[in-house]
Amino acid sequence: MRKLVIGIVVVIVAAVLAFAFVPRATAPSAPPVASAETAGFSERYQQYSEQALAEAGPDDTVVLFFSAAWCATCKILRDDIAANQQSIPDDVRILLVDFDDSTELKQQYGVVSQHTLVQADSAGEGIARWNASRSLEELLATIVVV
Amino acid sequence: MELLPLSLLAGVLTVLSPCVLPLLPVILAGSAAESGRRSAYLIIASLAVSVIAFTLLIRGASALLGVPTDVWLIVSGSLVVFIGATLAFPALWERISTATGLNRATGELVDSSAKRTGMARPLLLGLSLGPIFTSCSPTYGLILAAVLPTSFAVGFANLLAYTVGLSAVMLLIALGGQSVTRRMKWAVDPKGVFRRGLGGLLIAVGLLIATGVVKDVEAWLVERGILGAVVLEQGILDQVDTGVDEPEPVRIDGGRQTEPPAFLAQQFPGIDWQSADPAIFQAVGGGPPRDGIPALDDPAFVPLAQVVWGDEVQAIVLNDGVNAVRVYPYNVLIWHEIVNDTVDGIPVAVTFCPLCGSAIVFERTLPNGNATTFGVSGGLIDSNMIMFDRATEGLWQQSTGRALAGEFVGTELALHPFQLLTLGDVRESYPDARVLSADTGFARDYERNPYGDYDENDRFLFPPSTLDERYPAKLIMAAFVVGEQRVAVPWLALREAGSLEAEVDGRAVSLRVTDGELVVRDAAGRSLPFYFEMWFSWAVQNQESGVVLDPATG
Repeated sequence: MRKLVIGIVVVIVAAVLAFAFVPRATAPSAPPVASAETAGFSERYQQYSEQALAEAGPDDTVVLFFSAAWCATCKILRDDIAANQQSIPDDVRILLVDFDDSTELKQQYGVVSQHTLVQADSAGEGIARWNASRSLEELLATIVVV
Repeated sequence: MELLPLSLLAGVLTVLSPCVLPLLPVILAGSAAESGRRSAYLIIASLAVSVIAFTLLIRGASALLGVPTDVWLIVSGSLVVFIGATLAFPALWERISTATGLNRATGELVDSSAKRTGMARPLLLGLSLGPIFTSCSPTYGLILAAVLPTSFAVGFANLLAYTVGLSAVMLLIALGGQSVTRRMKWAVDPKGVFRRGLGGLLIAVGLLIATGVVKDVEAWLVERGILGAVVLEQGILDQVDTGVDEPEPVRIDGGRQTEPPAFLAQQFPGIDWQSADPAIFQAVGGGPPRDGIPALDDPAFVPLAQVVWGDEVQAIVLNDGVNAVRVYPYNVLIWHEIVNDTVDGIPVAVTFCPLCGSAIVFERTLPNGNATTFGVSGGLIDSNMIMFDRATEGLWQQSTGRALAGEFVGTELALHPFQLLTLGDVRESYPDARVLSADTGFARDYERNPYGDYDENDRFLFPPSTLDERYPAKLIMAAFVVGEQRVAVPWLALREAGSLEAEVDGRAVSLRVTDGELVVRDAAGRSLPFYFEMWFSWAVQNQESGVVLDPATG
């Protein structure tokens, strides 16, 4: 019995250690999610940059998606957007913002948690903010009419 | 309340998700290294407190928004490394706790009989994990986004339930780790290899946290579709009626709403909101409803000699040079905000907004030539009173005199000249003045200020949408318009300086204060009407285009 308990705990510890170290070995230096994400990018859905924002037309609606690579619900939405890009209207641009590295943008729009969406005009002026859209469809439906 | 059991369940399920990855090895190794169940309970209890505290601090509020995520990782990671080091090198820990008295202090705090068991380390271990715990649970997200903002109490209860669920599983893990240690005699020896090994493990995990690698690992798992219980939990959330409404997007653009606030729509049913100035949609209810603060019509006056109020009381003073000087002291105005009066045949509204210190006298003649009387609507925009006219039920903002809704949207009321003096000034300059009587027909205690020291402290009842920090928020400004340009001057500084010559948009303007009375003249020598207002309130209205003249800086 003792041995069994010890054994179980040892397995758990080993599993945790494996969680912590194995990925490092198999997925070296490259940013872990970049490749998978870029695959789904297009003009209407891309990584946030000042340039990407500047490219939005004057009447376009910009949606900043504050997503974290470790956030599971964000991942579900990212995949859904990537898979259904053709249904993003011509005047909507979705820009992916890294939640962990974007302190300034978070302050600018008052973003306190991952998986937050911020609707802005083409100049980057915030219009509305909400959380946790689960699908592209839900995201588009939440965009407020200005 | 339907959400409570779900919150508890979500807490339990969270343990299966990648985002608790940093917690698991730390809790497991940390508790296995301690003897006594008490320390396991302590680790989990302090973890729970820390998780709730940092959730409210970091994710429930914007106070710590400026702190980069890295900083929290480094803080937490360093603490875990430190705790690991005390286990790996027990002599070090003994020296530290003896030198600082840390162990004794926390031991006494928790339970005086537990002095020797050492409570500091478990406590610190639990606390260290709060700053980096970022739940990926959709229920937790729902609590933060939808419940906490509408009711702190209900939100907090759900957060508590979630944390209890999370802690319960964590406690099982901690006790499991301990039961192993207890079964191995050799492991109890503080200098034993086993405890040192656990210390080493904590150091390693701490380094992974501090360097952010742990987040990369979580990301790696998520990217490979290992989402833990998130999908299951989302499914439950969709099935169960949580009693929580999907929250509307929060508008962060201030003035572009298209719906009037419900209280205004209800109390002014005749207004065509389509044609209204969008600024009115930002209005908030100040508390009292329409006419809850009663404006005075046909006011009664008494001779100044009968008035006992002190010299320091401020007052709006009307002097047309023909009739007796009329004095409207703040201590009465503060309860009524508007006095509809007629001075030398001119219908005027003497207005005062206590929350933004704005004293303004308008001519109450509408653009169609008809006189009206004004009442207090109960709505506020950036602390400023919204008045309504009784003839057309239109809404007017007091500090700008502009119609925001109703027939005359976009038009402005004409300003009527007045002075802002103290009763002391009045007693000296106009001993024959007549003062607004306390016999108003309303039971109000005019000796008492219902707003307390609001005009002197730095707090707001309704925080303004922007705060211009060039001057103290509640500093009184004298304000006027030159051409199209709105201008403000710090009033006390101007009063002290006595005069100011300046140029606004290429037009000369001259200000003189004599015996507390202000005269503003343009280049042609014409006298310009003016009013008074707290700095923050003027700044909100004139943030972009207003000009400030300061006697101190010329």
